[in-house]
Amino acid sequence: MEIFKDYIQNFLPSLLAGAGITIQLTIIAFTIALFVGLLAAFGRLSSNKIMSNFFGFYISALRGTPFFVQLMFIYFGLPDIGIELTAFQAAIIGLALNKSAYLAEIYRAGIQAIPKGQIEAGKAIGMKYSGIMRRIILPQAIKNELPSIGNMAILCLKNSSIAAVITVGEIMYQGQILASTTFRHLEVFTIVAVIYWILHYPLKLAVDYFEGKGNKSSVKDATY
Amino acid sequence: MKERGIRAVLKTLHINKYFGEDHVLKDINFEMDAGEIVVIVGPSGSGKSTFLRTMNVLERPTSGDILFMDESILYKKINEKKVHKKGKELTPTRTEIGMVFQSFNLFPHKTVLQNVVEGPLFVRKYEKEQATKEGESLLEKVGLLEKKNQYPDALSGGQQQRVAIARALAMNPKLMLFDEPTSALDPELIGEVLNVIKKLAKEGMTMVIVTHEMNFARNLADRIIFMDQGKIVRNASPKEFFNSTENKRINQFLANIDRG
Repeated sequence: MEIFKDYIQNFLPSLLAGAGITIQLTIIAFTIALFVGLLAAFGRLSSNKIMSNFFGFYISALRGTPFFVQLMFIYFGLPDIGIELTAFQAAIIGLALNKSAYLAEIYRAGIQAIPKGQIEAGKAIGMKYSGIMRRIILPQAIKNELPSIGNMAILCLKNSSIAAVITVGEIMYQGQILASTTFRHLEVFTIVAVIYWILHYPLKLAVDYFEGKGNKSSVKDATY
Repeated sequence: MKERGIRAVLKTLHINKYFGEDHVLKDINFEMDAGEIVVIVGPSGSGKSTFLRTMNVLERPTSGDILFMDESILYKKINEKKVHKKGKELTPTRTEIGMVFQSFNLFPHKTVLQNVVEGPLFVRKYEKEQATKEGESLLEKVGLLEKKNQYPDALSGGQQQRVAIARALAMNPKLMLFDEPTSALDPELIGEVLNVIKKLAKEGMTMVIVTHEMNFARNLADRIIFMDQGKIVRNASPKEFFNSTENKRINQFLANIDRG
């Protein structure tokens, strides 16, 4: 026990510094993803064929290839065509684009699940398509999809660990350095895992809350 | 007798509608004056709801034209050529025509009052104070002012439909369309909705109502239109309609309704 306390005291400062970068990475990337994903969803749903096909390809390409590959492509591949990014920038962009594709599909499912009558009711009082989307459809769709969006935020947090491979100084990267210099792999990665778990917990609570709210008549509550 | 306006509020000219192979509206010619109440009846699948929905272009006829206040709601003229009105070009007409749906279609994420003022605030761009005042007086008219801060799912079907009527009226429409407004309601809730419609009739509102409530049609309508297989089979006053016996299809329909 005494020894473990020592480890924590020795490892924690750099791991917590890494956790700070993990949090930054997740918040910035996910915020961008929320907006880009919405754009991609509307592009995908557009009646304009070119637009719809383009965003269909965008979503397919990002969901159909490993995030690891995407990150390597952005950080090591893009400099060949003159786009040089810092590791942190590359990680933000990679994570944001990757999650935007998943979010686009979540938004799309949410929008398509709203009954047609809502659009017709909007039309019948003279609203334009953009107004109907913004004021009638999206608020309902996003509310219904909040649990899925929250789960995507959790995935975003955990996926940010892959940024370690392009030397972003986040928690996983700090862990790897500590482990390879002290050879205390078990201890280091246990602490790393615990920190991830703690970071994810507020998001998990949010997801639970959204699920409870949107699902008042769940199987559990039903009376037979 | 009600006083009639001079010009036709709504006029349909040879409208046809196809859903794929299905010919659901067949060469429909129809005209109604300001202040008139027209009730459309007919068996299900006769095209009556589709016909009603063409009147604010929720369905676009495959051919033919519809005039609202003497102006085409389907086409505009560009260099003497007829071009379909699309998207936001349709909205000016729709602001003048209120519609009430069978399934109410209230906005579930907005309160009763927010549902009613949505159009005035964001389409008509009224000041919030004015919109709220008018919205509240409309809710009072349909007897639901005390529910103004509730959400639709806390209301009964009949109450929801009365809110839907208030929402349509809030745009100050020149014509109201009712698409089977009581068909989704429990029997004991039908009366409260019909009473609101009767109130509007007394105020001289121009209305087209698709319904199966024959007594209501008999008492309220200036004219009854009977549709069958996409055609207007009969267009008559209630008195003539219910006394006529020459049309087999109508007699059969009335007999079936009575039995129900």
